[in-house]
Amino acid sequence: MSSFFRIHSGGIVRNGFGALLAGPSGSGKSTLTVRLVMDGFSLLSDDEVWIDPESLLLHPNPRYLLLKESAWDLFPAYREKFVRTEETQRRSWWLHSQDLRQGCRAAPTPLWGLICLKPRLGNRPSLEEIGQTEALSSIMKECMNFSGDVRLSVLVKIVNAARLFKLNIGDLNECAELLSQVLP
Amino acid sequence: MMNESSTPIVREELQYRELNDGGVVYDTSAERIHTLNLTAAYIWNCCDGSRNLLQIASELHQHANVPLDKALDDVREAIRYFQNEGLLHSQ
Repeated sequence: MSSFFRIHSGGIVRNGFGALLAGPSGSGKSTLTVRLVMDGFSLLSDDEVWIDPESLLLHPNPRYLLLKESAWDLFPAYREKFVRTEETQRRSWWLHSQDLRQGCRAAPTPLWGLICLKPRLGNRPSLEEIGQTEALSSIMKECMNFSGDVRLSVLVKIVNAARLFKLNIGDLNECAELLSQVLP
Repeated sequence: MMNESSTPIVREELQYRELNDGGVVYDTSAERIHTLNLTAAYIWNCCDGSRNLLQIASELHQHANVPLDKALDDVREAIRYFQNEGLLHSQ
């Protein structure tokens, strides 16, 4: 595991194509990941994806999903499966992937796309393709290990290999619909 | 402050990568990343101490087919940014 490149990102898979949902804490990674898995996508992680720095194969992270306050209202069907965390400042829950959907864990998957999650701009979410420099600067601070030249080299490989988008978040169902239309 | 006869040199310890829409400079000591558009990336690559600002502008003028005065404005602006961000050797 120490050789994996760890990125602060959700990760989902459909039809053998993997996509990263990258963004800082509170950007909606976990919520959007859960929503997409409910729609049939497979799960790599809701918060941290492990990437082989040579092949860029995306590896699933076995950790429980960590959902914040809003999940209580957004996913009422799973409330009885939620396990309250010890966090005292605000309510949050652990959710096991098997309780989300049996067998939803993805196998290691090639990288197809990188979705950079951005703050809400208006009432409606928007999804647009972005350039390599914007994508790279967005995910630079989401790297959790590696440093210096190695970090930059892996990130350049990622933006060279992936389709690149930014998603200005908005209504959860509309975000899921936008991504569902663009992901293979 | 740089003038048109100055020969800027980028700090060699900075990490730089070319991308298809520009380039990125990673300042590992400051943990900062700087994104450059295609013009700024071209100018960055010219900052090796062998050319002054006028020569860089002249090359940019020919390379990008932009008027020379516009190229010189772009070079001045880029160099000012590089300098303000501490990306150049002090002269």
